[in-house]
Amino acid sequence: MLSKVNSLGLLGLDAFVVSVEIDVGLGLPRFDIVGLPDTAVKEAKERVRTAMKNSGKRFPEGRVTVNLAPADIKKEGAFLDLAMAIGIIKASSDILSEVSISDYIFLGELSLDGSLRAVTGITPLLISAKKLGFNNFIIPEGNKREGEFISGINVYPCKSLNHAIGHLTGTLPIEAVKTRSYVAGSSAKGDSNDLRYVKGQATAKRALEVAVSGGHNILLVGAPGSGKTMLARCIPSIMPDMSFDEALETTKIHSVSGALNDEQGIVSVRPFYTPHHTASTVALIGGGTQAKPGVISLAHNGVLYLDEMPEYPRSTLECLRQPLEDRIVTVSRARMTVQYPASFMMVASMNPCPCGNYGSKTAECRCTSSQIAKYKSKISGPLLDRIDLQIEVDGVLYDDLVSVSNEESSEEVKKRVNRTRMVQRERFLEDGIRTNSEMREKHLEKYCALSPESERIMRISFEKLKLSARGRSRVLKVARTIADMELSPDIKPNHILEAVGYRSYALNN
Amino acid sequence: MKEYNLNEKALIVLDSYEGLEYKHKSAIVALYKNLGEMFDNPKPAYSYVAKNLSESLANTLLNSACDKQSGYVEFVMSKLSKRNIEAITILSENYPKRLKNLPLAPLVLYAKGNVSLLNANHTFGIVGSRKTLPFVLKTGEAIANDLSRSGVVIVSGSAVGGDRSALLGGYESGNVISILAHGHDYVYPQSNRSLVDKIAQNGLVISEYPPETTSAPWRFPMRNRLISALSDGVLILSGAEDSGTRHTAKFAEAYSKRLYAIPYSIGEKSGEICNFLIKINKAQLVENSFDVAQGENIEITEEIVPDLSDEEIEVLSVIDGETHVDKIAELTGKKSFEIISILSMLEINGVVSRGANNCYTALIKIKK
Repeated sequence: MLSKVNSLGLLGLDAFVVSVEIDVGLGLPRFDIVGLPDTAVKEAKERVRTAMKNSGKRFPEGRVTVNLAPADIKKEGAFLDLAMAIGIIKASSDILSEVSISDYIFLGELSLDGSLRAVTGITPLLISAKKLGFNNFIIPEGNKREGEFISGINVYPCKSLNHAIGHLTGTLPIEAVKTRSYVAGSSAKGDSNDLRYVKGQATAKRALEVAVSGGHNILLVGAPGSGKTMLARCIPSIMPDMSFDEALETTKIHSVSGALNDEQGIVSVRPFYTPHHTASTVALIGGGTQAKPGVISLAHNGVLYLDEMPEYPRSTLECLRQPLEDRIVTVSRARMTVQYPASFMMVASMNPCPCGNYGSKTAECRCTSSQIAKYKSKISGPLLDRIDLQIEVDGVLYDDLVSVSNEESSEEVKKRVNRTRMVQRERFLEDGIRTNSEMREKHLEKYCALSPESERIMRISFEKLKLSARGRSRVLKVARTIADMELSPDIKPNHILEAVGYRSYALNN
Repeated sequence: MKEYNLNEKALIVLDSYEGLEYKHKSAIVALYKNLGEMFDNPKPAYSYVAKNLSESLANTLLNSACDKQSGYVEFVMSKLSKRNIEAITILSENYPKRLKNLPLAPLVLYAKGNVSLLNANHTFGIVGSRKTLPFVLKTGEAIANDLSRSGVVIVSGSAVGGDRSALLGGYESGNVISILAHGHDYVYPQSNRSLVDKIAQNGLVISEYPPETTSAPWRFPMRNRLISALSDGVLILSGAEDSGTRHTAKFAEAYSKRLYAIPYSIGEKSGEICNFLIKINKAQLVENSFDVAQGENIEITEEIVPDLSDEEIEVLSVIDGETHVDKIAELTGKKSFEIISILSMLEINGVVSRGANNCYTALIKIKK
């Protein structure tokens, strides 16, 4: 007998339909899987056989051939197990003979006792399959949460092989998961990293707010102990709420790389990643034989924080240039080329010199000018050019430290950030971008037209402060954000001047 | 191409021998009534070198400089013209008067650029060590800029730090002289090469060494003596006790030049020399170009500063020395973002300069 069951395969963040064809015929007992399976799929043989036995189903005595079509794409992952088991049962017994299973997509890894184990990549699989026109999915119970946010499809969570068969035959119908409405999560709750605890540093806080409001990259330069790291750690608490679209995009990536929290099912809090400076380029950018997403893609719609930036190998840092500009990263390996979104906000921190005291009035700098030049040159000009805001963070005065002054809490700042993001979202509705930092030349022309007075100020700052052409558009973008923060439709001279003020590091050195 | 007379040629050729020390060269010069006679009558020079130095060097001299067939003279001259270098000998008309009576006055100055600056009416040296605080660099640049725009020729070295700030301030107006401690073929440090090249175009770069001379530690104090000698007044921007700037200060004092120094806070290493000079009453304390202008008795051509708004004046009035931006915000009662845009405007207008650690210094004084 021949049977055909639908399942899916994953290619980057997109799914393709895998048709699992099973033939059970006469002959010596044998179980073959053809159609370019990888090791995990080949090993399905033993799992499927044992799981069927332990679920009380008879494994056919004869020749079993499984074909995974299309035959020319490599099939990866263990989620084809369920489809094979269902197919073998349909082909070899009459349990499912009366049931049409062609409407269903089966996903799930079998355990030896017949239960279904959660697998990675369910979110992107469901989203792509929905686009391909499939409506009914049987997935492991453990992945139930991931199905809850995709509307318009029926997702049936199953505990075991028998559970799935019971549903198909109608003896034990499973209720499809209820669509849950999306609520943006908050990381600020109970978090000790709150701007309220950062004393003084008014300028730095303002710069952070501007950066977060427009999704701009920011570099914090300061002596050791000046509070760079503390400021950076406060960023999640003022990050704007994640919209559903953004959450889904990020969830896809997290789902593929297995970084998804099973309880949540969706990434509702903007990711904040701080890879250590010993992280390899592949870990950061993505790669490996399966071209998995790297940290920069996991940080999609969130923050990538590089603490002590000059300590990262220069080659690794240079790799960030292209994703920073294109907001997408293409990972090419021998077997496949995959594009992952990587639209992250880069936050970096560094000391002004190797000993950290350059420019300090209280401590003496022990570095020679060539040492300082060497230290700074670890961050190339083009990379520095991509960082919109470069601010100096300096030590807090003792008086400020012990003062009981009421600092603004992250929650209040976040409210303003949310409002500013809303302004941007409305403006860019038709442009396919979300924040000011993503603006390209054509957007700049459209949305950053300057009044003659503003243009004059821009020209003077351009000449006096020797900005590069890229520097000009960076200043414009930041000025746009500052104007948005004030709900001002026009970019006024003081917005430009403030934006210019946030490029201190590049100008000063 | 510049034409040299016979005496000048002889001096240039004599200067091209690295083996001859200054005292020997000047002794040879003294042997002749007109040094140009050396070419036809090499005997006195030969016997002097043979007696005081070595026979082999004397023979070299005889076989190259004094042998017309060797083409050595043309070779030396072409080296200069190829590099666009003008040699100014102590016999030349345009030799700087300020150097003429100097002990160990350079016999030949190798110049690239506008040589008329050498005898400018008013010259002013600005020097500082390589380790100079960022806000002092800005101050130095502003002073150099103001003075040079008023027609004063700025004299400095070629190092990074204080010297560089002086050159940066001076090069726009072209009233700037950079003195090298090595031949024109080198620039030390390399990072200043493009700046020195620009000054050669729109200012003057001089050296007392033939083009191929490399730098050596002892040449730097010698160069510093020229800076002091060529300047009517000298401003010391910075310098630790062991810094090379102390030589410049010492020479300036020896040549009775007017000395100025920037004041530093107690214990600041990069300002040890400055504070010391002020303490012993050798240098006048200056904070900005107006203080220098007063001491030098010149009028600074005021840059047209756009009318400052009330807000800007308010901000400017609370900047006292190096002032932190948060402090300025506190004193004026403004929000930090308002302050940042006002300060940016002031910075663009050249009224304040930004130092490290978000500190600002006022470059002009306003009446409170």
